[in-house]
Amino acid sequence: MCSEFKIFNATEIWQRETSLPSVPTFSQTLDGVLGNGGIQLGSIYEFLGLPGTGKTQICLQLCASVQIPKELGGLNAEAIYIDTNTNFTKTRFKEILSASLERCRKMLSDRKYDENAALKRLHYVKALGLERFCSLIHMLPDIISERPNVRLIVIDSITFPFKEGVTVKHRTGLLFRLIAEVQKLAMDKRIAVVLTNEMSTRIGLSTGSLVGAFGDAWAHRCNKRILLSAPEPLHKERLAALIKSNNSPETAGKFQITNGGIRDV
Amino acid sequence: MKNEDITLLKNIIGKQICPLINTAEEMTFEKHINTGCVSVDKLLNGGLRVGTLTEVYGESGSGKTQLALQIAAQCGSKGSVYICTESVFPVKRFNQICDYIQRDSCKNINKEHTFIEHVTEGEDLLSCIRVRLPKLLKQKKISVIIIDSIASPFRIDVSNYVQRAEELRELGISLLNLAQNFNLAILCLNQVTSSFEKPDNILPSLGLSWSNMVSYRLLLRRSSCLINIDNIESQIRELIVMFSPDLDNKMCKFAIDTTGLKSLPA
Repeated sequence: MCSEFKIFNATEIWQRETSLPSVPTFSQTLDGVLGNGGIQLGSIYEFLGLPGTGKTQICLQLCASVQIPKELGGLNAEAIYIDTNTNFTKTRFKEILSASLERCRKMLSDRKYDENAALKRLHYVKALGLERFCSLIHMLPDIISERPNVRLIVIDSITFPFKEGVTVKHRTGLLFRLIAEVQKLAMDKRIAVVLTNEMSTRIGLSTGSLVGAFGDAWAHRCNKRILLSAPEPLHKERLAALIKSNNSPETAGKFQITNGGIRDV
Repeated sequence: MKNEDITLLKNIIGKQICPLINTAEEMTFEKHINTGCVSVDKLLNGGLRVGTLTEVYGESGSGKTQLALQIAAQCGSKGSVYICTESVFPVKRFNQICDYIQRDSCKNINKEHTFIEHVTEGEDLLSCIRVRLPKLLKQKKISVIIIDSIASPFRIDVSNYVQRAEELRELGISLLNLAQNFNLAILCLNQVTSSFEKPDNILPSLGLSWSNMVSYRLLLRRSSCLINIDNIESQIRELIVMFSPDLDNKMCKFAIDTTGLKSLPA
């Protein structure tokens, strides 16, 4: 077991934190809610919400935004999408990616964007079931080393693998160990991690209240937690509320889900 | 065990069962199963998506069973499994729809490929899906599994909601595994319940744990508009996408007559 402890002073930490860029969401309001202009590298973000509130859509949008070229202030990087609930569709990702490429094309009129090359920059893996998910997380450092340009890891969703095959007691330990590995990877390699979580009903003291799945202890694991809701179910508008953050106050904002992806209202 | 041994074991097992990674470019597009009704197929971008769970919920009499029968008849020789949990399988109606498809498209509808099962209890349904279905799927080619309805076995006698949630999760995971391993689409019909906040608002039954299992949720309802088919006035049906990973929240319309579902322009 190797453990290297290095001591940094606050200035060094501050410089490191403020130097890390972010992946934008194409909605300025949502970027404002997230703070730092989007999903910052090295941090873990959790999006919670009822089905249909836009969690998967945000994940797909981020996978497209991470590819924005450096000339437009982007990261020009790649993403890994870990699918545990079959919500990823190539059709939808292609739609969002095309819209993102089109926006970039309009701003940098001399560049030509190859859609196939852009599709190659999303690495997709279907990890259905707890065993496949655990083995994937275990192999993740090797996978990332083979793909050094990956700056975003999306896990959609973190709840699904734990629905079956494990008791609540074992689930907590397993989940925390897995997330600790992911966190180490995120900090060392400066990669942003986005997780989606489901809602669950809390029974007991406050009967019938909706909370994020996995309980109170899990609520502390991520750097930021964002709650999504759909004020009017069949409309495009969504509300995002930052319910936990390590470096900003609680805020909320509106965005909408269009055919091209996430946009401002 | 020593830490090095544990790490070695994890590495070996990890390499064995770690799933493969492709790029989005290498991936294939999603496959769909036609429903036999043009407006529904258009709403769903081709039909029921293979490899995932689709749920249609609605009040009783809205036409859910009719839609399911249409899909089973449309599958024909591609194979379908129809699990009834409420009443017996409506054979006459099924034959009626099959006959029309046969006349209309000159396809020979071989009804040998439609498998029907009747279960009423939750445990029976679970054992059917975990034990009997995989055996059938290994021998016969099936492209869709329909459960009519998923709600009935779990609403008869609910004493423990937490246990019911667990059973529903197990059921959902088993169904999803079947869909993925055998490349088929799964359609679950669900009943409705009312909400406390707005009494006119109808919600799908079975609660949040089931809602989290489905990928596509569609509402089927009768609209107030009538249509005249063969001198009979019947209500137009509306199918709305409530949530999905890739479809617009749009609506499609159709009517139901003796020959099955009839597409109507939106």
